[in-house]
Amino acid sequence: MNKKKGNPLSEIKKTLEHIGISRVIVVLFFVFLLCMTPAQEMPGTISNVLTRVGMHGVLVLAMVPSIRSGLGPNFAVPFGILAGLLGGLISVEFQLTGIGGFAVAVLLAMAFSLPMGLLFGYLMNRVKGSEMMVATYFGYALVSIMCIGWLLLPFTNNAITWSMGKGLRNTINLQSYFGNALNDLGAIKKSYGAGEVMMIPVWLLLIWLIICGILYWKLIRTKQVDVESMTEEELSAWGSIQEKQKKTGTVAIALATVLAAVLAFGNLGFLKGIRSALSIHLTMKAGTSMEIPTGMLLFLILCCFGMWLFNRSKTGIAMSAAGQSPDCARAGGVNIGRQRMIGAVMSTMLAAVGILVYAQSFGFLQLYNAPINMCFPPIAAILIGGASIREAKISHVLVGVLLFQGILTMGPTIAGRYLSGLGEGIDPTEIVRIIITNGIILYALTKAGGVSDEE
Amino acid sequence: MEEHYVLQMKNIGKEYSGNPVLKGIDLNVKPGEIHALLGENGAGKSTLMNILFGMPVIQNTGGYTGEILVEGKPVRILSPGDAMDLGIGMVHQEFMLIPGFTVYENLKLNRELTKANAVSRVIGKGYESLDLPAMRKDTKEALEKVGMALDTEETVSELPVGHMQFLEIAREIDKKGVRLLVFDEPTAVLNETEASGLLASMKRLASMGIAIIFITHRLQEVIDVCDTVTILRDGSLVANHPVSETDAAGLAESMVGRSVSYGDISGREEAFDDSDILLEFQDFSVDMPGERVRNLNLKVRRGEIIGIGGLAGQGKLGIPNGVMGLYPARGTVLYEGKPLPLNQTKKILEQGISFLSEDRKKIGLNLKESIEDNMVFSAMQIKGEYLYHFRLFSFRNNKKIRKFAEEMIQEFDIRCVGPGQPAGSLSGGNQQKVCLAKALALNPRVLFVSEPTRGIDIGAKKLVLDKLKELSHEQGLTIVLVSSELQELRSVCDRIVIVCGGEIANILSPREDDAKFGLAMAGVKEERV
Repeated sequence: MNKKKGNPLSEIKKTLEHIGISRVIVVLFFVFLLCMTPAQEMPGTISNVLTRVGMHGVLVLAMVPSIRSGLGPNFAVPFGILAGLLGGLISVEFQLTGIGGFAVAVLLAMAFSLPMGLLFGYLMNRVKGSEMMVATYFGYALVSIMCIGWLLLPFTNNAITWSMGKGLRNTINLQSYFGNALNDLGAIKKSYGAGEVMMIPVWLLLIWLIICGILYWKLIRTKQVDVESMTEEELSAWGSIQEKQKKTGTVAIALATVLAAVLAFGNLGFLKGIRSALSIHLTMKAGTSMEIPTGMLLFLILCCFGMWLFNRSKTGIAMSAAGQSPDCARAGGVNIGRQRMIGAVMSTMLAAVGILVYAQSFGFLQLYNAPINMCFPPIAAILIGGASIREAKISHVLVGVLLFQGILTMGPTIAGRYLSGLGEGIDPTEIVRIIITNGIILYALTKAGGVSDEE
Repeated sequence: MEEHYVLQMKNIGKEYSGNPVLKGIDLNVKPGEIHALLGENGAGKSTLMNILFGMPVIQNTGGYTGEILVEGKPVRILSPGDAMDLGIGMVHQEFMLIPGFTVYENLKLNRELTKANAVSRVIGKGYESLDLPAMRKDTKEALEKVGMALDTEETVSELPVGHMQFLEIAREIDKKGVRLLVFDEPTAVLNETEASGLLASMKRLASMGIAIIFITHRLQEVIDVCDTVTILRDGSLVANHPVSETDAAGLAESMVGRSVSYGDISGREEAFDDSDILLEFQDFSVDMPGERVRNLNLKVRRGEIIGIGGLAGQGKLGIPNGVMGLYPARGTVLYEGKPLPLNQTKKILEQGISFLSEDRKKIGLNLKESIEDNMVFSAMQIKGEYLYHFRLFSFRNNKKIRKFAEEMIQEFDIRCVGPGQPAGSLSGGNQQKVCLAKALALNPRVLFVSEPTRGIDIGAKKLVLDKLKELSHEQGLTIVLVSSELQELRSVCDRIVIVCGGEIANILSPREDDAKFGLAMAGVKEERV
């Protein structure tokens, strides 16, 4: 056995491999796009990215229970979306508005999605081994069947139905109902006048990142040692030192973070000077503004926290065991079929809630074939975030949705600047958007093995 | 004058990553001879045959040492193709036949006889047409040589299992210039009539001058048909002599015999009350592929360590897996006088019956999870321990989990960087210790242990076995220990059950003679002790 001890180059290589080359490339592309964004568009870009993160976050979160329970990414998201649309329509039918209307829509959507999730789980338990393929076409088929449903459902509100003839509209405007209900909840708006300066504490962020990186590398990271050849005393001594270092490291990182936050947002006296020195200054033209959809982001964080709690519960642990290592879970007395059922139901419910979050921000409910297009972006996002077909964490959701939606927001506008003038009637941003979306999806799917398989 | 040999293997040695598995093996086979190759599982038979056939696994792990001579000429066999060119053929245990093809199509697969035609003259040899009559004729001849009249047009999937074996042999015979055939446990899947037919056809082949290496576990077959026998044990040659010089008991003794000093044996034969039965199997059958159990009847006394031994494929692994509901089981198992709910893993675990699986990578552990999570998994799911309980939900109690894991790491000396390390990155021995901690976290009253020392280092082996002994001797835990290592069973168990063909062949004391164990393993039944 050759001992590889204390060779920093090989350790860095290992860490890189652990993160995954594909993820590093995507992060670099994200940063590249951010740097390319012109100063004038910065406030708008930030609000766009945050809004899109909030819009798609819950849909991406819907992948977590299905992956963890062993069903793989939920390709039947369009199926769950149907329940959400139905809930939203009923809320609109009763002319409910604002956050109340949204809450009713969510509750109804969850009620509808429960039996639908059970049906989906029942199906999944009968097609073990080809879940993803079957789920995709199951979703497509049900969306198509529901097209008939949208024609027959007895809604009466004029906002929903065509003014002439039978059936529901293609898109339903939510402006006077629960449109933007979550977005506006505690939203932070800021407009800039001509010549006003926007400060982005980039240098501060960089310093903070470097400090955290060093602390992690020196203190928190589990170092490579040859445990097999150590004596018992050495091992326990080494273990306790390691433990202490980890504690120190965590505390130090927490302190650094608090300090960085104070410096980044502190607006008092001498702090202002430090902040200004560590920031880049962008001079705005008139009429630029920034908006942060606080309510929607909070809702996403709340959902993520709920999911995180569930993953730590007895059922959540059984579910992830059933997904990761079915034979082992079965030997531990876990009913695999039941756990997969729970995963399917949770995923369907989150898809139903997710589309309502999406719709209230987008401003429209889209019926008929629209749900079909909602299938791949969340899957691509979570895969880019570091999940594999068998493993998914909350961090994968947040990182993935930020990277995917961020690139999707910034890419087309930047490309549009350089590609304008292709010809009459050709919109380069739309073309680039399609290329980027599908490119990332393809890339993510080829890397579906995730962190662990790339080692 | 020197004797004429078809095959001579001289001083063959082989290491797997520094671990010698073959040490100085000699094997000499004369033309027309049936040469038996005997040994327990893991004795090195298959490694030796892999070397003979130039299997890639040998080259990939650093090749072998020693010399191989075919017809007196030294050869280097680097691929199965080389072996075939030298006239060495293999009859596989699993049938390598295409079910949808007919008998002659299978027999002539990739060696089809062809005739040139107009197209092939232009395009090339790949387009020549098949010479069907010649192929059928060849097939008939080959089948006649093995003494089996089969319809050459029959589809293989319609043939009885026994006939497929003959077809495999015929295919090897049909290859031109075959001079040595290896039979790898050909009778394992056959019934008695088919087996005797096969033996007869082996004799017939031998009389035609073809040498045969016969690998088997059935000692009677060796006595019946073989001329010479070579016995391997733990990678060493222990015997090589004409069969006529020995009998079944002698063969059995050489096969399993080890110098076990009786000081190592800790059996407590007299300490148990035959009427205090904790676990009773009645007509217990398990449908585990390759390890079937058939109508087993066995009583396990409270507090004893009962060993279950036997050769691979004879059903010993089926017993614990069947009890735990991992494979479908039938019959009755009485636990404390009450029948166990068979095939319901959760209910069985709840009753205080715990299992250490032979497959630690797949069943024993979730390799991606941390050591601590693996250790407490069953206890958490079955008994609701290591959790904070709220009304609707229970959440993991990290403090308790960490404390238990640290205790266990200390107690078993598990080599790891911390309780949070993924179980998959541990060495085999340490993984096994985690498995044991996991089984013990349930505080079981009966512990089924299956192959606890398979593929782990000597230090871990000793620790695991000592721990099992300690649990039983000091805490009164009843242990059912399944192992294919007889020495291990004899050093730990109070009684040893030898299974063969899914049934109990004998129940022996660990102090019994080697020969008795060997006979029981070979399926020779005698009066129960």
